[in-house]
Amino acid sequence: MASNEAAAVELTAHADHFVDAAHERRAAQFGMWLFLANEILLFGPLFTAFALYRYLYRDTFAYLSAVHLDWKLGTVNTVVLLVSSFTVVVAGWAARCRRSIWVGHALIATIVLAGGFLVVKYFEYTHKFHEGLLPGKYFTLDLAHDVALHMESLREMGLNPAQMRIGPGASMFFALYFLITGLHGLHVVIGMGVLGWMAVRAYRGEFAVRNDTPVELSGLYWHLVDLIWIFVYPTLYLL
Amino acid sequence: MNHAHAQHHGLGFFFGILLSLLALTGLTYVTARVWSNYVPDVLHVPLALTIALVKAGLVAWFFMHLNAHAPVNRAYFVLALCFVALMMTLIVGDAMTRLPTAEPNFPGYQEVRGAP
Repeated sequence: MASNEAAAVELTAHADHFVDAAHERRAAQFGMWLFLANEILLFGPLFTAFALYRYLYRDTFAYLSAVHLDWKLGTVNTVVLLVSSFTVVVAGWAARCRRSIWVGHALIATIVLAGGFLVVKYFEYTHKFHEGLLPGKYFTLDLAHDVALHMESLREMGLNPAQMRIGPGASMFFALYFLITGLHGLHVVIGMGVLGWMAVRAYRGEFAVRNDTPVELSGLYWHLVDLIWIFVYPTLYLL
Repeated sequence: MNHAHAQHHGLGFFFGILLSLLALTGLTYVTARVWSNYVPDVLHVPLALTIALVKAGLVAWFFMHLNAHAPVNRAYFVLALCFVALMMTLIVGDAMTRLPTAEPNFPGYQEVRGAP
């Protein structure tokens, strides 16, 4: 067990080119926010493309979202990610209190929730592969037949297919669906890796004797994953 | 910049933020699907996006401690969002002022149109 003196040395440790540990921490936070701003610019064009094609193919997008995306699964995943964001906050709080083991526990909880998110996504994806709801020429669903099948549920949702222009843009909807959720899913997987690494360090007791910057920054990454999903959920599943 | 500020909030506070986020998720769903007939068509998108922005604000401001970070960090975050908003406004605005929504051109269209 590290003595208090050794712990104090660890807490004030910093690279030579920084004035002190606080300076190093601010630089690290600044760098992380720069990276997060870039991430926003990475997802921005995808949402822009979605907004453009949703305008052009409004009725088709409304139909496919209402009938072929499961709002229940979307909502479950929203709740899962929001709760996982909270468990990351708990990890950051434990790191500030130097309770390294609790950092580990909170991060494991986060990773389990992230795994749950991916399991739900797996079921959504396989269902779409099965129905031929794929981008471009791989889109094989017979739309006219499909609309006839869903006439009842459409009326229940207050949509009148006779007044809708359903058809063009259907494969575009799924191109954007897979691009946005796929890129987001990749971020979830990367986030699980980063948080897993932090959990290993936490169980080694590292965050009992050193500053919490690594936990805070990896937490910021995870919050961004949640932040993006907050916009994915209404745009894809509800509107 | 002042990190001590973030420590003023205990876990109970953050749990409250989580509950607000869950409540707002419920509100998005209800206004988009359950009460959708009571919400004018033109308001559906702005309403859902406003709720999403409020949720994103709660996550960024409290969960991501933007309230306690250096102002320049806030500026980067907000600036990135502004650039995305600018791109979206110009591109979608261009389409909306020049192009109509898609005309039906797929083979099954007439059939669908004719359905009761």
